[in-house]
Amino acid sequence: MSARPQYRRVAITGMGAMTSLGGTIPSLWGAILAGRSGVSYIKQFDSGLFPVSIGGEIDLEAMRDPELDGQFPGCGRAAHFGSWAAGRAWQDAQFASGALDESRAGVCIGASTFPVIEDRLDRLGDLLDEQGWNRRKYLELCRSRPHLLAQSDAAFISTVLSQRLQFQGPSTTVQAACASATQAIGHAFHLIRNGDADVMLAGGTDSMVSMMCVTGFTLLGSLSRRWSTPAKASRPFDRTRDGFVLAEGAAMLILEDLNQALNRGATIHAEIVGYGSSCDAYRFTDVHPDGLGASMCMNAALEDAGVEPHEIGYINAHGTSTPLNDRVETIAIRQVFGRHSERLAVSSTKSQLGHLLCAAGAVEALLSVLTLECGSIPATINLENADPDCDLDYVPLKPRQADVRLALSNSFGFGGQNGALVFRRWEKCLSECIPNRPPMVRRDSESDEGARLPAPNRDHRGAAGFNRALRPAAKVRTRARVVATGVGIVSSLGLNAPTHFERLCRGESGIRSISGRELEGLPLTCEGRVQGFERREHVPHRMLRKILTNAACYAVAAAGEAICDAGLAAERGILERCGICVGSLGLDQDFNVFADSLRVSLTREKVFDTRLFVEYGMSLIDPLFLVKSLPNSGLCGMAIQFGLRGANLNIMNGAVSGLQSIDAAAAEIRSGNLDCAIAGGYDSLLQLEVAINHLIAGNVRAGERPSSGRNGYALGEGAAFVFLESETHARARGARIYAEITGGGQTHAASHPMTREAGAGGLKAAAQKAMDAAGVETAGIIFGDGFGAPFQDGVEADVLNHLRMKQQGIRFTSAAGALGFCGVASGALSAAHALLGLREALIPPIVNCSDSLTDCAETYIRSQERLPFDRALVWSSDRGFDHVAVILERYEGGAK
Amino acid sequence: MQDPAIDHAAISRQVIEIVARALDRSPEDVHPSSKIWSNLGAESLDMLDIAFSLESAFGIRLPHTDLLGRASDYFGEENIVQGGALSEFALELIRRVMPEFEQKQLRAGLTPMDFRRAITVESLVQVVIRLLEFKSQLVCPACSARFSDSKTAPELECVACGLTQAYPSGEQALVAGLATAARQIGFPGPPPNTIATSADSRP
Ligand SMILES: [Zn+2]
Repeated sequence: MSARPQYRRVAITGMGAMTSLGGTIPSLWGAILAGRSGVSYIKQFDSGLFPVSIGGEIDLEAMRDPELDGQFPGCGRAAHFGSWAAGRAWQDAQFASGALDESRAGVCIGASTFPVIEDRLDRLGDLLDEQGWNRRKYLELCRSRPHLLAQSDAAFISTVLSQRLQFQGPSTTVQAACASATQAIGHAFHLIRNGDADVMLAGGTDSMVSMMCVTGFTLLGSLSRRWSTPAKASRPFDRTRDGFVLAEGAAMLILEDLNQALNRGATIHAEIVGYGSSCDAYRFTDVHPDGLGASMCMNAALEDAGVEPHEIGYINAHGTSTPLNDRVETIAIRQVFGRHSERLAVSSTKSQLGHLLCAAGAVEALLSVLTLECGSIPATINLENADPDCDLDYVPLKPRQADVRLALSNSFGFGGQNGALVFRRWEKCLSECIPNRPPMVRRDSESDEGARLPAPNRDHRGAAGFNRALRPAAKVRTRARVVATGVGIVSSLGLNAPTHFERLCRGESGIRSISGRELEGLPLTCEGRVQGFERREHVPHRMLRKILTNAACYAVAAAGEAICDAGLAAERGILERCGICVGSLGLDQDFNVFADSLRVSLTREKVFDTRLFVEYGMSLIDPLFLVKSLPNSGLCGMAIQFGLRGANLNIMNGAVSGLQSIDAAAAEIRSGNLDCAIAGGYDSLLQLEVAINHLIAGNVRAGERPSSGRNGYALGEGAAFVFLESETHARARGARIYAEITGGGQTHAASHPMTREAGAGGLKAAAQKAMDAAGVETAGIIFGDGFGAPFQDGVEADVLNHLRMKQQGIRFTSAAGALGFCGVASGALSAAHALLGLREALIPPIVNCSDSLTDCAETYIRSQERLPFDRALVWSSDRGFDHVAVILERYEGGAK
Repeated sequence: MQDPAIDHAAISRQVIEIVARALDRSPEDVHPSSKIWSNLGAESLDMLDIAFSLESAFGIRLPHTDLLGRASDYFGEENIVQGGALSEFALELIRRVMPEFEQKQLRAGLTPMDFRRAITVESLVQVVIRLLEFKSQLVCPACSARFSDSKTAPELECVACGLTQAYPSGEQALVAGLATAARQIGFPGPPPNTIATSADSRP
């Protein structure tokens, strides 16, 4: 076990932003205190023709970074904004050269993915035929414009930021709709506090002010349309509010271990002291009418911070300016803060900036920190008409000087994911910020101005559980052991874990000839498709059946099986506080949704015409398309289906996300933040853009059967989820234990362009981190990727050769031959195979493995082996950049 | 003034089918008197889905604001909602614009929320009929002939000269209905809008 202290304090030592109100902290803060609005008429498309034409927009050309474009072709608006904010935050943190251990520095941001139609408009005449989107022509277009698909690569921006900063710690994209950035910052905070990183760049970036996104939100009826003056439209808590105003931008924070920050003499803007998350588990786009999820996450954040409600002086509200959100947030604040809500200042800076969606929580965290640092509370502008349902002190119209010591920032996302952060003023900076104030009276003993900190104050650590009754605040947390007690799988080999595993171990393959419409016309011959899945049978909830994609339905089904397998199907109390950690695919969108609409928007000369689109095209688009493409729909779906309301995290980080989610859930249980969690991943690569991406990369298997073994993979799909809990929790309820998760590690290989050597270095480091965390010398059986693609297989072979030096007879298996490459689900499937294998003393073989890349051919398991093993190392890599490794061991009760 | 070409029974059947499909129910479970929210368990996303299906099935455009929202913008919110409940004027507007609405529910104390939750399948049928009637009364600005639905695109086409034009927005029909009702009630108006729509005043 790592010798680092278990609970460390975390400082904010750098901040940067790019918003419609400015690209520097002084310009943004000055505009906020002046009560200015950043909302204007949208210029990036011909918005005047549209029913909604306003947004908080940034002049991209004025801030575009040509170096970034050169280094990473295909950067969209959000990548530019994010990179700008990250660069400013990094400068602000003022690291002397050599002062940072890059291997312990990571990136964790909220970012979005959405259908991008705009830069394909000039080719629509070609792309659309009678059947819809012509796949072969689209493939040709993408081949000739290889960067067209970069914007649908969900993990692209966090990779760009890690590469630019040369950070080698975890590089993560969090997707929780409008709560994304808050959850990203909260997750990064916990990583440092738990000792898994020393420095994190955390925040969010987003740009959904495009024509199709504005259309999508308009069709959903979410946007304000009553107010004709742009600056007046966003009016949180005002009686005449009628929807939110879209905005784009980014904000980034540098979070840092407080001791390290003090030792290097950093300027500390504030401390981040608490984070809580929850799920409404209610409806997809309606918040819970009693504010249940909202009050749960505020309570969890306060508890995590060890802070009493009456100590909070300011809340930066989610305050979207939609009729429902603002009413329900008010109810939730009253519930959490009781009589203190009369004295509490609450404001919504969305009144000035609009709603930055996946970046909203980051800008609002930054403004909360500035409030603490400078003693001024931003106003809620446009709050001119009192609403009887919104009766708190919203700091209307004008900012206010106030001595705030603790601030809380709320974010509530579409789908029902919520997050709240608590920040504490760094006492030392006060006198510098507000020179005319009387000197501060020190109120407690734990704030410290000196370079040496006392040991963390246990009273302030609290416990970040979800049920105060179960978790006395005075409890001292110790590291818990993490065990797995349930497994669920949906794959091309079966719709439940036992069938799947039995067939996998017999060496069967789920790869068949192409049968679905999505991939027709592409040069593909085989696929690993889930067979015989009935929505009605596996997803009882009516609304979920209607809006979830196939892949998200697999997630709900697999999670349900894991919960049943753990014997918890009827344990509503346990499920209610169960955490959820999900690796999700990025874009999950059928482009044919737009085919009819775009076809009628073409002139006779086959040229896209905006006026035709507004008059005829818009009304032919399914108004639910944005909801149906939400990347967090699998997580929210399982929350709604099974009544899960606990802490949650949706990771949208490419192929490693499934295994990363299992590692992240295990870390939260280990550190005492959670008793139990459902964790895993789901994906379907049987989608047009995804398939094209893999075809262009040259990794997809062309023939039905491989001729030599390494001519690429088939595209697959599926889901795998495991139920994890603390050993104490599992034993108290007499659960059957599959195995123990004893360690995990994640790295990012900061090499551009990627090389086999750098990729192998990253994977090796992740495996080493996992083994160190587990306190073991050898890896045991390795459950890896084995995709059959030369680069990835080469990386794995190099690491196997390295591990073989320490461990004679190391063995490796993978399921890609039987299932194809299942994207995000691949790593989660490998972990599930290791758990089932440990319990049943069975190792599934590699199907279709006819040659070997290590020096020792016997490393690869080619036929089913019935042999008891005690330890497995599961790993998952994404194109050489991101690597996650997890150690699973046979569970032995008693002291360890 | 019912247009003889508009077949109430056929429209009702089709609306019931659309509602049933959207809510994943059998059409036998859906009746004209079924309340969409409270009896059939619809959520706001279902209403978007239902509206989308009605628009494509009937070649109409539904208004994007509901009756009370539009009435508040038009006549001033203080004339529509008083003390949290619908004003007598608002109740009278509903009686005239939505004669199918269950009359005994239109009593003092009815809140906007109660009103929305009491919307029935028959209300949808009537909305569709009103929009079809509104559409059928349009005449070609070029030759004054009637329009019919185009066979090739979601738009209207003049039966005589072939001029095409977009479906009328549901907004137009709704505002026209509200203005007529207000005149009948004797409301001095329509008053100047306190709240403009976004399309009105863009420079
Ligand atoms: Zn004509």
